[in-house]
Amino acid sequence: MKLPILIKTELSKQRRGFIWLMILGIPLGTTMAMFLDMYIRYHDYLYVKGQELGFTSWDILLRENHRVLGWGIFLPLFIAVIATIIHYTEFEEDNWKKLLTLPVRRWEVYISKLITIVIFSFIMIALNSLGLVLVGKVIGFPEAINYRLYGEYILYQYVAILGVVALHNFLSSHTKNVIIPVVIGFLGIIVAPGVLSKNPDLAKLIPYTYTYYINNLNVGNSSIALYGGIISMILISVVGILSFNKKDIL
Amino acid sequence: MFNNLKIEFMKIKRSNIFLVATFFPILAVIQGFSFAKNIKGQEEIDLWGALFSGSTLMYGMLILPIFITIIFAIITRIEHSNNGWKQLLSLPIRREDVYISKLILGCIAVLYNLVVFLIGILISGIILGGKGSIPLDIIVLRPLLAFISSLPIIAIQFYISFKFKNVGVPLGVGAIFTLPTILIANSTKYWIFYPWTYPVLTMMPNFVTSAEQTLRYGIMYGVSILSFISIIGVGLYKFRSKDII
Repeated sequence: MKLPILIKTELSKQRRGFIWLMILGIPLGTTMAMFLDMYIRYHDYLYVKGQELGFTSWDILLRENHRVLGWGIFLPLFIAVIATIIHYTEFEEDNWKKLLTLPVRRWEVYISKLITIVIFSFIMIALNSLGLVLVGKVIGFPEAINYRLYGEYILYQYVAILGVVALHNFLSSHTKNVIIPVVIGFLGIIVAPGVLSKNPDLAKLIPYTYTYYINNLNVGNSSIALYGGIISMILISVVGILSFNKKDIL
Repeated sequence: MFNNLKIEFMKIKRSNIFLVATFFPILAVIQGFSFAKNIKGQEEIDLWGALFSGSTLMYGMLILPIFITIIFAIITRIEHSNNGWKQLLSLPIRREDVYISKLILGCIAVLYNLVVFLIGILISGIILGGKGSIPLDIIVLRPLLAFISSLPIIAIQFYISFKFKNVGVPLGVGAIFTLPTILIANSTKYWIFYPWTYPVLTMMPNFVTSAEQTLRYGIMYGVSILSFISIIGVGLYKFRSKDII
């Protein structure tokens, strides 16, 4: 079983890569944006509004991040870009030939890339939430931090994005033009809100909508994110492995 | 220069750029159409205004900046992949012509995208039966002004797409900077410092409500043009001294 070695190799490939621009830059950007938002609106508006609605400052911050800033909308697009970066080297340097002639099973190559995308996505999500905690501490929220809420927020995101990760691993490993998966990701995030509002039943089948269901203030819907993420990841990965096994080495 | 431009067009002929440029604004128009259709029939509703507002938020905030990112990534990727720069720059053509023709091609694609958007709005308004004269100052003029206000984004994305071979860099930068747009656009003080807010604020109707905001909008167009010229100038200077290897 060479999977752990392949994962280690994939991570080594990215050690000095531009992926860190995404993984660190995006949470840094969201932290700064949320700080600006809280700095301008918290004391005069958001805190008062939160009190009226029965939300704590930490609830408000989460909601601002997920909905107002658009983290919930953009997360699938960021994952599409991460997947593109991870697969970029193989296509650009014609590495697929070299990689697939090695004595490793193809499904292990495919899954190693999937797990690499998952690892980097998880780091980015965790850093985003840590940034929110930092913002709350700096602004000086009166309430104690709700660790359970933020822990659930991170975990729900982890599971909700699995379908998108699997989909973009599939697209990026099968499409020589590295931009096509990103265009599809972009299409997904544009179409998702429209489908959600017009046809909620259909939306449950689209991985790009699962991050919309992550709303710890309305826990009833969040289970769709969990089931959808896990089921779509399994289904898409199985299809992807079967297809990848038949991939021509040329 | 004209020959270079023709050649650049031929390179992207099969890349589906113009399919993407046609399809994406239609999505925004569909959203606006849906919004306007839902409120049609209510009293004192300005249908054209509703249609335009419903379409421009998603288009100006998300679709246009990401489209610019993708377009310039595609245009420069043609040379980045397979060591195309070596072949291109060893030909007897001026580097300035190569640089400017790629920029013009990208700008034409962005303009085409905007024109599809405004034609889509016009057709949707006619289908919905919008009353009164068509407000051309909003529906036609604002998208065209949005081209000017998107010049800083065009310049930045063009420069980054040229500079970095790894396509993930311009895509990542474009996605990162598009994310906080709606948040910063809502700030009356800080939007002027963030170019990604310029297109959506140009296109949103009834946004200029004071002399101070009018002044800021004037400054915005000035900043857009000046920053475009500066960034493109720096990029051209660096491109002229780019090593062929």
